Amino acid sequence: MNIRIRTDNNLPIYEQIVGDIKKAIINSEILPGDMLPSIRSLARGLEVSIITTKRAYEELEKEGLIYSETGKGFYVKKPDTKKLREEQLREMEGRLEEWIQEGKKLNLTMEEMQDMIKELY
Amino acid sequence: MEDLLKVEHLNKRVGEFCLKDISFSLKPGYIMGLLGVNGAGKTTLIHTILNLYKKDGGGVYVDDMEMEEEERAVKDKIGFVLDENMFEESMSVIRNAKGFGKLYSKFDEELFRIFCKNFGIPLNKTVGSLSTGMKVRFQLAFALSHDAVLFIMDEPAAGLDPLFRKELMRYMQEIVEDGTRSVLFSTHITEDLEKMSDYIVLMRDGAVFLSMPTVDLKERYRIVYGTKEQIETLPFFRVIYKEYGEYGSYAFLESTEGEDYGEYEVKEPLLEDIMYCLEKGGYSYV
Repeated sequence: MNIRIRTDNNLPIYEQIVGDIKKAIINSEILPGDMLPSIRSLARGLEVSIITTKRAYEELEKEGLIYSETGKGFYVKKPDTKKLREEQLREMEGRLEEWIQEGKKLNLTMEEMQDMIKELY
Repeated sequence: MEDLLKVEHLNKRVGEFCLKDISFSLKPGYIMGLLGVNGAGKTTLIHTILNLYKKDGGGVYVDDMEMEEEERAVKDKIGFVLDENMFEESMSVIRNAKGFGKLYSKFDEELFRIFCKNFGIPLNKTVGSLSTGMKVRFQLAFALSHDAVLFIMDEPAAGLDPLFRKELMRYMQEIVEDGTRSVLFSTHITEDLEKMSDYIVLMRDGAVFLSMPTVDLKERYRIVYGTKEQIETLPFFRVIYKEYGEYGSYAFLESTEGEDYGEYEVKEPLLEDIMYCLEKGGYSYV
């Protein structure tokens, strides 16, 4: 599992961690039932504060991607792939919308943008 | 969980300067950064906590023991790294450690020698002849060798090269990792606190302006970018500070949950931004 903290990113660090772990779950790099590193060892490994990693796990737990067993640690849940895919699509739509706005600023027509996508796809 | 360090309504006057009603607490297993511009009172606070300055009022508790009442027992639990050297400058590193080690119930000379080796500290050089960075290393090695649970450091990173600064931050993380020990350290370098501090106490004019988890502090404020006209007519309340530049302007404001900033470009501020904008904006609560 790869987690990379980007300080030039506008996203809070804990959200970056949430995003990277989510990606690892989607790509089956970590599997249902796998144990996640402890809050404290992850903090040290990433050189971030303990409260940051704690918040990331809380967020992942709230989203139903991981669960905790008291006194033991955090584990990967069987992901709701449908929900995750919807989420990914929504995120992609958001990014696409930004690109369309960019295109409009450059006076590109829809056809011209479609051509661009066709060429690059 | 019990507090490892509790500072309650601490007051201290030093000449013209006053520490005013300082209160905060720190649980075991966390790193707390004491932040503030030069002259905010960070060093005075640390010296007062350590009873190097006798307090005028209030209390300092470590593991529920009051510092002044049980100074010996409390200091046994504290490892410190101070700007001013508390050791005997004319004596060698190892003689200092042996001598001052006697003041601690659990000083481990073997462990001290191991840390010195790892940190590259020459045992037989006098403390006075060590460079600033080496003095910090020496103090850290000593602090780590007597089984302290609370580490108090005053500007440990000032005067260190970037390499050892990074190492120092890693040591701090190692100290707190098992959840039983904590670090309180002052700095005016916000970068050191940005990622690794769990809590921040922001001081201003001898008082605590705010004290909260670093993630909450960063979430509390936003920076909104725009043209001069956009920023001048910003439709948001709770603006603390605005700055207009030739090539772009921004506003620093208190955020509210779920606020939609629409077309504006928004970012979470760095601690540096927070300090700068609060300083410029007059430290107003909105």
